[in-house]
Amino acid sequence: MSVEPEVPIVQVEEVRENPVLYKIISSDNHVFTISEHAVKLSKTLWDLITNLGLTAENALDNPIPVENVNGKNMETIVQFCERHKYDEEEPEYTNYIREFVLPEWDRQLLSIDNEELFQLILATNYLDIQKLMDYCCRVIGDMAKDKTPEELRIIYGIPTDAEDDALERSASDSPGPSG
Amino acid sequence: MSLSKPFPLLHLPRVALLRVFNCISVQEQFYLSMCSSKTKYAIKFYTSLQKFSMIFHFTNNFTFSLKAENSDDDFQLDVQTHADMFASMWTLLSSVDVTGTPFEKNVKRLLSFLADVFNTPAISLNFVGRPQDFVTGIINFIHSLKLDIQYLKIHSANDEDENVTLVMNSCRDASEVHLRCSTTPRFNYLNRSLIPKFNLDKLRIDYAEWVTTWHLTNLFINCKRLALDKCSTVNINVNQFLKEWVNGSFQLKFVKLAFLNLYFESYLTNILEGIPSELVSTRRTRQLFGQVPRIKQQKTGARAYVIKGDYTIMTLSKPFPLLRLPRLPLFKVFNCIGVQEQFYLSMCSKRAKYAIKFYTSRQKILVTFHFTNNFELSLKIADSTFLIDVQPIFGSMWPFLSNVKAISGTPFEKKVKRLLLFLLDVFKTPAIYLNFVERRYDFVSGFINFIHSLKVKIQSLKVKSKRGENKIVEFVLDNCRNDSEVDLYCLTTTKFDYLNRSLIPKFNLDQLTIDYAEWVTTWHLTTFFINCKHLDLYDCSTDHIKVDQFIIKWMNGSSKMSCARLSFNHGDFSLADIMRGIPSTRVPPRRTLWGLFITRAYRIQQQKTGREAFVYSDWRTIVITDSL
Repeated sequence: MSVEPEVPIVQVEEVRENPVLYKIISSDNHVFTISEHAVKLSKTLWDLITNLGLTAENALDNPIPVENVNGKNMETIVQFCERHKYDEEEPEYTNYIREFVLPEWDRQLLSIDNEELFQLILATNYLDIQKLMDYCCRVIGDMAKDKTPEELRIIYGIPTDAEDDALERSASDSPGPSG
Repeated sequence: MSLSKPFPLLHLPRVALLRVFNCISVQEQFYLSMCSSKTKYAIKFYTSLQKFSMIFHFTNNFTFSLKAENSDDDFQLDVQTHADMFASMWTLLSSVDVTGTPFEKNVKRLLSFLADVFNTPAISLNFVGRPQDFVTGIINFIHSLKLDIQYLKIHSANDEDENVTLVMNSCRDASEVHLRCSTTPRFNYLNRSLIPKFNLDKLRIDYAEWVTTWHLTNLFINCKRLALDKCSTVNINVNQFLKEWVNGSFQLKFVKLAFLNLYFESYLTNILEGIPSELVSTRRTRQLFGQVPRIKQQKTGARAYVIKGDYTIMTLSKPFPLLRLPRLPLFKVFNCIGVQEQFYLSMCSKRAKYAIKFYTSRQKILVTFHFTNNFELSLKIADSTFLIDVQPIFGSMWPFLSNVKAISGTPFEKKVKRLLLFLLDVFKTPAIYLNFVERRYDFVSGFINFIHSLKVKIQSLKVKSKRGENKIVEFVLDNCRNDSEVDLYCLTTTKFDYLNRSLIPKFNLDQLTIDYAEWVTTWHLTTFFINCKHLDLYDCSTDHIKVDQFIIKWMNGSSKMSCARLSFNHGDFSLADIMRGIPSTRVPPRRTLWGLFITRAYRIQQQKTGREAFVYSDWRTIVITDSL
């Protein structure tokens, strides 16, 4: 039962120094504008920008197509990056990711349907945004807290071995493309 | 007993005192608070800046634990085994006026003391097999102090109508309630006040035959999570419950209703009658759930999925397809969950197991099997420990282990062995700790032999027994010479001697502790135990042990032993007499590393290696150690 998130809309910040803006086009042709500081949070996008040689002058004239991410997820990602663009760099959480506390704003942002959250993680993984990945995974990890094995199976949709086997059998029994 | 002047802790200025308290653990804070009224108020002032939680376990024993929130600082004490320490506390608190049996009075006094000193901590209660009167008395007492119960579990084999009523009436604001107790057929809990509203994060009832649609729609619908087992289809109309949810704005996020008797397929159609719903495909779980109906709360737009699982389960949220995540995020998720959840996940299916196994291959995990009155398992990783009561898993989740190859033994032994094999597989040969309390020889030897047959080393073995089973001690001494740490707290009969035993394999333990060591002789010391690194013997007999011979043997050999403590049951020996004739030098009086002031100590040296050691006595104990 997921309530629609009440996430404040984050406008691209036009303050501090004169920001360089970039345009991104999602797979469903939505166009987003994102500042240079924000886009740097995505290693994939920043590498792309660097490799394409985009500059302050030609950035807005050359939108970057991102075919693996739809508009809904891109909107969330842009909001997140704009929100966190001036954050100090944090140590990479490897074994001790459990230690950090998820800020309330981000928790609200990530209070979305499980399927949407899953797609968001795939998008985040593709765009290589470390911090958003940590936060998303924290939300998924929190789902497991104090649950029994039986509850975990339901929450994470893990089929039993017998069901897995049956699924494989039915996949192998089904006729191929040629019929 | 220290001869130096005590440190006047309470004379410190406040800032310094608070800094000192900052440096000591919660356990020490608790001990300090027991010392006097002044220390209590000092600690109380300090703890007012923090939030604590405490758990009272009323099982066969009575233990309690206290934890500072947002930190790993916690401790657990078994009140019965610390009877001496608590004796002074009971005296100190005897003026607090409470009712009940002497035990109940002590519990209540301790509870009010902790609530006073530790800033009204969040209280968790775990009652296992305790009489109804006792449970009622403690819960009512906590409420009389205006304290909130955060977590409450009542586990009883008896019908507990009164306690269920009490909990339903008075624990509606708790965070989590788990009732694992049955009720009589006449129990109903109907026509009860709706105020205060149920506001639980989680309510779990294992014997929910008495729960009706009225309870669901009027009381429990305000909880966040609800798990009811053994529901009756006669009492519950799920359709009505779902309609109530759809038309309201309730915070309920997850519901599991397991029914005693149900033909679910036909029932599922009926329960959605008159409720707008749409069929939604679930990915990768198609075989499990197929297309599932989704319903929507009109006022809030919240959506819910009605799902049938292994058992009869209705859940109001679509599963998150965890195992479909790419490897990097999947590992990050595993990083976020505790080792207990990792273990539980590994039990879900082969695929889940392999995912966890691959992830845990980079970590070191310690597994402790506690064979006490219950069977518990603790998993430790880095600085986090999780204690898992295995009995509930034995019930519903046990079939998954039946695939592990069949092993000899009783049904319980088979289960434990299979569990071990499973853990060894998933957690990449974890360090194994064993703790046997009053278990039979056959079980102890069978399990240890099984572990050794797998070529796995036991990191720590503790055996407690007052049955006088000589065979257990013999077995451990014969078979565990190459493990890491062995603690034997086993009474033996007077005829026990352990003489004329094979010298091979050599004892190669890091630590050997033997309580009730009356049977240990100079021969055991000089032939067997001298090869251990650390040796602690209690209740030794001066008739059997010639300490001077042991010291001479150490000096003439190349033993790697770094510390030996021999505590005798009589103190009629003189260290000066023992050391007479042994080449040694006197060491000036000094304080040892662990704070003991010694007036007489001797330095001895191993001829072959040049290693030095010190010999001193402390009342009935003779200590030979390489560091003072």
